[in-house]
Amino acid sequence: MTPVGDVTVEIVDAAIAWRDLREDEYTPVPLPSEPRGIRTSSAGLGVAVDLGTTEIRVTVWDLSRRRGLGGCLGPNPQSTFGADVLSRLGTASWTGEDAAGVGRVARDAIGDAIDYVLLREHLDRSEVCRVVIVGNSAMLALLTECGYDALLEPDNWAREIDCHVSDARAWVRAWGLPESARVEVARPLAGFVGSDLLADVLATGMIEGTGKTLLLDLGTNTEIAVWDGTVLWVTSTPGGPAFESCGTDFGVPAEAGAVYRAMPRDASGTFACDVIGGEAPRGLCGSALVDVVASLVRDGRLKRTGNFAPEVGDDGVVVAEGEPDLVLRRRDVDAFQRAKAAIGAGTQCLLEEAGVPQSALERVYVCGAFGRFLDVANAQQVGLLPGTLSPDRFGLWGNAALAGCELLLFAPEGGAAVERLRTRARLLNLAQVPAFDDRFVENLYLEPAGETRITEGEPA
Amino acid sequence: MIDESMVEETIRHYNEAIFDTDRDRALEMVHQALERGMTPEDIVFKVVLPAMDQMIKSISEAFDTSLAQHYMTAQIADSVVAEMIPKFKQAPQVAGRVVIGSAEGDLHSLGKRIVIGCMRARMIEVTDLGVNVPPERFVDEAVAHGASIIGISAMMVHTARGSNGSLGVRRILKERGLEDRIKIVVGGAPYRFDHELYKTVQADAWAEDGVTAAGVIAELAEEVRT
Repeated sequence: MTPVGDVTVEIVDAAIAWRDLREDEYTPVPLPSEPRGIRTSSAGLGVAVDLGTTEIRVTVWDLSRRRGLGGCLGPNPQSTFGADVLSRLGTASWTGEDAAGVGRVARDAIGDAIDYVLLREHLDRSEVCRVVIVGNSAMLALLTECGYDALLEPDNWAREIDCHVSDARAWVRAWGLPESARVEVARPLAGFVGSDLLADVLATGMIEGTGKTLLLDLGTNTEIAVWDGTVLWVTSTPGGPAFESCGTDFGVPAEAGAVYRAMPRDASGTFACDVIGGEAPRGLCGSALVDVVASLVRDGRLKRTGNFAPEVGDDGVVVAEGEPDLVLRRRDVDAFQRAKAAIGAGTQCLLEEAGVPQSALERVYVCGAFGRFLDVANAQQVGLLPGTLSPDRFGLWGNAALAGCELLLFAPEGGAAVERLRTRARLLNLAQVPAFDDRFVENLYLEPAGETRITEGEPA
Repeated sequence: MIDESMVEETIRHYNEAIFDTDRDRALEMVHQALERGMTPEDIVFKVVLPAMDQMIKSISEAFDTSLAQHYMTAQIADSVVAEMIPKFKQAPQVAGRVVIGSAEGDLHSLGKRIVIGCMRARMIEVTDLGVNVPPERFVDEAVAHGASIIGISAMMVHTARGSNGSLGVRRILKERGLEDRIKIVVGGAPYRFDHELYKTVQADAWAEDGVTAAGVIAELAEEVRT
């Protein structure tokens, strides 16, 4: 949709629709039973925030009893400045005023979410003493209004991005919290790899053993980590929003009304759909998109190039009947191919850089909102996940970043746990990998991703 | 002497191979046709270039091609034409000269590679300036190579709209009085979302995808020449 002239847009109700976070929506991680190191926040309430590109998740904790009191989830209202991170960074970099505007929207939303949980659970806001925020680099740069222009410069894509809170008091005042409450934004690692990935790594414990592991946080901006036993290799790849909400005609986030599983019913070619909340289907979320594409490839209606077989015709395939029908069209398949190719190619390049063959991976952690619904075999068949591994090596984690953020909330201030991770991490900037484009094209095909190509003499 | 039915058969098989992105089969079709007496000129002008036009037609009429197909169309056409040209009876006329690169701050190169492959197949002389190209360099290189077209790829909104992209190149062309001789063609994701954006950034033309872009550039090069 393109306006042909000046358009006045009236926003009737700007309130964010927060809703309670269900327990199965993130993976609760057992908190360390004994406090380690010096703890300064032994009493009061703590707030963990995962500031995502598409969604914001907040949980409130009783710090002394180490108990979760409630949580909520809502859309990140910054999406009015663009669905992807680059559009938002672009808007912020126009003028200082624009940056303040984009930043304020995120801060207000966080305050709103905290309010929602405090009111709903009848909690005393004067007891809140600590707020910890994780997110991808772009979201944290926009939130803190610093470093957002640095991220638009390719020279900085492998450097640390400064995201410090310059006036924490103003933030807590605006949120109606006591002035003594401390706000910590967990620093991004470097470039587009944010502290949400570090939180994922903490939550999954992927680097606790010596076995080689892989972690994928699937989203608009997919972050990938490989642990080779000594070094944590990390990268990020912009898959686009095909898995999250838009980019496809019927794409929706993994929310109520979203089809999250779609299995071929019988030889008739129709699908049996599982819908979140059991409602009428509004659209497909990423996991169902993977199911549909994989089963169409299996039954021959979709070719490996992404073209429909001649008998399908130009109108595509009806996935679910309704008002209107949910139809998979050629352009949806194309958006899917591009998104999964970016992830598949990013994974291959990182494994190659780390010198880790797919077959050597003991465990693969799949994180991200729709990750928990993913059918691993289907995802392997279309090349989204490494194809040579047995499905039992995969673990579906859902939103691990929030769980990791909660660990930070209970960790000593200053984040010694994260600092340890930082010293072990090494970033791969895919923009500087000459092989990426070729890998991307190879990964466009709807077929399993082959074994990593490790050249002799590469660093292991 | 070869008959028309053989030409038609070659076209059909080559197009099928392109549609399936089967590089080996496409090259095999070409080599078989050569062995059976088809001229290198006919292979280029009756098989390879019409196949590219067919792809442009399918793109514009319905969305039934994919990025993988665009890429392979370009790569296959480029390699076939590169192999055929030395076999031509007479060296073909250069259809135009172009410099191309990704805008400053932009490191994407895939779209640009598709455009380059298709342009080379159309016998347009292309100089690839790489990625992250400052506006001055676009103009300097265009002048140095006698190019009539500057192609600027930008896959991100800020590199498409920014003052060091097409807008910067336009400013320098204006300052140096080169606007009659050198035209700007832009492409990349932001232009697909806003079909008027090429005007905002003061480009002369834009194209929806790499395969189509080569056609647009060829037409514009022809216009500048005449």
